[in-house]
Amino acid sequence: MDQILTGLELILQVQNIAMMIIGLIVGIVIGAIPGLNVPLAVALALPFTFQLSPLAGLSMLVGIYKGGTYGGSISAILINVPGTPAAAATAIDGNAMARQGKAGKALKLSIYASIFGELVSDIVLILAAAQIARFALSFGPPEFFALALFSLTIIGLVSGSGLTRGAIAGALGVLLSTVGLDPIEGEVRLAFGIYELTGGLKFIALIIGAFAISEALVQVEKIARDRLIVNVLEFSDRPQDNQVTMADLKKVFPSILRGTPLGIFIGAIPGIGSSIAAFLSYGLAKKFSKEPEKFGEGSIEGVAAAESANNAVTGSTLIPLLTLGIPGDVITAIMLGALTVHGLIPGPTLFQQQGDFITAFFIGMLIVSCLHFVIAIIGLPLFIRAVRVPHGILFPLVVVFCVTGTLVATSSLFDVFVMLFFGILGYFMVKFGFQIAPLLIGFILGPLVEVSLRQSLVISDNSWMVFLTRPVSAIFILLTLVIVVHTIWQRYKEVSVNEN
Amino acid sequence: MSQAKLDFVAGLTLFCLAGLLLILIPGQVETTEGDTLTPASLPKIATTFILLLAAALVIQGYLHRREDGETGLSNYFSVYVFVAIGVMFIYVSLIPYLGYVPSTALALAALMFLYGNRNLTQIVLVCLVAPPLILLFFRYTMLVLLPQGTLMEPVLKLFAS
Repeated sequence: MDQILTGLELILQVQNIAMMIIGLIVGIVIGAIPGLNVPLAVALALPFTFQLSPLAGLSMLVGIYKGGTYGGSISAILINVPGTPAAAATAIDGNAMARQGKAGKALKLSIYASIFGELVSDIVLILAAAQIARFALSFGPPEFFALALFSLTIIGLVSGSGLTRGAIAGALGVLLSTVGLDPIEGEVRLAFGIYELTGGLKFIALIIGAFAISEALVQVEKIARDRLIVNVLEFSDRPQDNQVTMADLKKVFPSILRGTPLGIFIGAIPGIGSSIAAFLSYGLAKKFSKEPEKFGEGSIEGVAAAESANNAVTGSTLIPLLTLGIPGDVITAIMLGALTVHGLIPGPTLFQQQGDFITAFFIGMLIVSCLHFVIAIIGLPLFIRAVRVPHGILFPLVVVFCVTGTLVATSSLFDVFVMLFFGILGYFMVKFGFQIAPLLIGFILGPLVEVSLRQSLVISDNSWMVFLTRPVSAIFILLTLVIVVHTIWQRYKEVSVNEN
Repeated sequence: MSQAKLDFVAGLTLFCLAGLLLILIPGQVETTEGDTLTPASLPKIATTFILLLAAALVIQGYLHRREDGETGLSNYFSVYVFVAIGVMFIYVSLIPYLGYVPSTALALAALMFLYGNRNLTQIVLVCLVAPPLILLFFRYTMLVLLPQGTLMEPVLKLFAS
């Protein structure tokens, strides 16, 4: 009880609440704008958090994450262009409803389903995290190595760019993480005589470059090629088309109840992400629906299922980050960077050493979800306008914020050039069918992989068997092998079927 | 671009870069004798991994070279992208000389034009308002001073006096 009161005292500060509100508004607006996505928003906000207290900074990032995940549904419903990949499933029925003049109903339903998913996910995070952290306290270097290897493999495989490309991007991330001082012996590596590289590549430069500048380059190409025209559907004048009735809620509740745990479960597994959760939940809702024929034609169950699942990911995806120090996706990887900058190292010891901070953060998550509901309902008419923001103003400002943010965070023009280099790298990766997420996760997990591997060999007298003699480590190594072999086998079968 | 061609080009590029890096690594990392893993080990492992996977991509592309399947990925490289990259590099290079506000205004004008904005009033308004606003935001809320520019210092001193 004392800890809860201390947590409340810490989180209920004006700065923290203000940052939650700013984060939510920025997140919803950016989520609603086609072409901008949540990782880009979180990456751009990261330099600002360095000047804030850890709680205020993280509150803002959580607000952007939650707001952005929901915000994607606004453009998905109104113009059939998902603002975020997570809203792709929402677009199917949401836009069909909008074409029938029921945009208001679809938008409000997506708010209710999103907030329900979010709140339950936060509660699961709060209940599960401490238990997992307690268990993880017994982990040593071999366990952390096996866990990092497992996460890297999963993220590489399920990134959507295929086994080979995912693995290449992950390995490239690990390689880039080795630039600079070796974490154990202090030797300078891969600096090529450039003094600024001896300190290593800056995380912030990689994040902003790879996610924001690359997106700005992709968009300049799209605009040059297709000239983006946004046609927003009009709202119906009939009140029943813009309101969610009790009958509607009763109808969609089973879909929300199925989608929420599914989203929570998928969020807790590194690498899978909210778009897969939304599509799985959508499929499940269709399977159990009494009116499956209405799916794709404007089913309210379809919208609710997709939205509850994609927002339910937002809380549980923090479980591996906070308890094990393993980021489950790009956004949690950026949050890991934010925590590290403030001297907080995510992992089981964080719960031991910073109990008050964790309690305050958990209470903050619940407050963000409640504020999300209020802001989304009140601000809906304004957020709809975000869909129409001209790209001719928006993306030049994104580029300026990328440069300014990196400059402010690193105080070095060299790092701004490095950020631009990562932007170009990210652009070419996208052009050649590579995902950027494994690159980032590889960069984040690289030092953990290296340090835990070398420490494991030191404590075991250079015996590689140390990874197989400890149960937790052996399980993760085995799981990694099973997943790799299974993926290769699946790919082989696909190729065989295609050739026949 | 077909998937096979994409695999082949990406694989070959990565193969060459990884090969080059493998040659360069010994000269870039001082290694200590005796340990199973040295500071050079992880860079070598990661590069070798990329080299092998890139070779797999090349072989994959070569074996499927007669298949037509389109990737859905565009092989359209707009000149606008390269111009945008150029503008960004020039922008960052100008900051130490012109200072944050003038270089940002110039970059914004060029980028807005590149992003298809042809509304002169909008361009002028954004260029005049946004950079000083960002500068003031960082100065007063984040307490961070953005560069004033060596070339602008005499002008600023003149105003100050």
